[in-house]
Amino acid sequence: MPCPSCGVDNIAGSDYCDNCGWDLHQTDIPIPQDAVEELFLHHPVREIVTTQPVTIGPDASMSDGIALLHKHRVRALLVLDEGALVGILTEHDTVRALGVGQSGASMRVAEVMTSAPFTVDSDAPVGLAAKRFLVDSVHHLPVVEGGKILGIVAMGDVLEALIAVLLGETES
Amino acid sequence: MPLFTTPVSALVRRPVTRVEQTAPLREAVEQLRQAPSRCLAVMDGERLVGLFLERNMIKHCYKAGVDEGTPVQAVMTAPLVSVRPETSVVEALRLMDTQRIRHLPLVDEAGALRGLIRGRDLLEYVAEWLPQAILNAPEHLAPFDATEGA
Repeated sequence: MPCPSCGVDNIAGSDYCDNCGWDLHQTDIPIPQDAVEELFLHHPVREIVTTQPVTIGPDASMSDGIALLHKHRVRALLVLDEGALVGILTEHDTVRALGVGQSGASMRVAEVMTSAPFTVDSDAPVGLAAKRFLVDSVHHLPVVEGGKILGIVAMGDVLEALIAVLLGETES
Repeated sequence: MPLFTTPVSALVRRPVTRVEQTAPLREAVEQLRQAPSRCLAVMDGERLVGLFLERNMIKHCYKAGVDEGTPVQAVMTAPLVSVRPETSVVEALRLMDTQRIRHLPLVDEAGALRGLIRGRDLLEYVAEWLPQAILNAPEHLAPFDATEGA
């Protein structure tokens, strides 16, 4: 069987490619044909994650949440309760919940956040994060590594990597 | 992907929601909440003068004393970077990259708004060109472990 990674033919039933060591159990991974497919298939989310996400507690006030969104110029905050992820607070959540001139001082983050958000593992391919953004209509995904929160990946992070690859391809 | 020959207008996926620059924030916010592109084109008649984004709300609208009757032009993002609809996708990408923008209005020679490109539209365009198997690949990359089975 041909190795999906390097293309070398291996004995049928091989566990690993004799040439490059690729795990041949993953027989449904296509061979990337260009740099975009390479990015989506073979680059893990870990490479584009923001590892120091801005966080807030569920009992904090929305005025504090808005202040953090503004101060750090981010579009989403991870909501952690004693280190465990319980939600994500985005600009979109905020705009839907609060009217003009409302400071949010009397409202808790837990009342506005998106609870139990989709997450992605740090070793998942960038293409999986892109798929979540497209299919689930989210703009941010908390990134999990070894059961712990490693950071956050935004649609903008995938776009930045994608634009770099596309422009790199046009210049090469 | 024919990035040099495809006009950026081919990436337009959704209609742009427009609001007049003198509209009060209370009206603009209601429109923003409903807008499929999560932003509004702020117009002076037929001329595009700015964008009203969720970011503008976070920055300006949750302070005590901000009046719902404030015209949207007071808090919108302006001036704008825009391109002609016939601009190539690759030129649009360069602009989005160098200017670090994720919303790019398309304006024709006469100054009329012809559409709006968002980062998501670019992602959708690329996804349409990819083989289905790429986005359906397994959820975990499994690096070769030389010690396994030793």
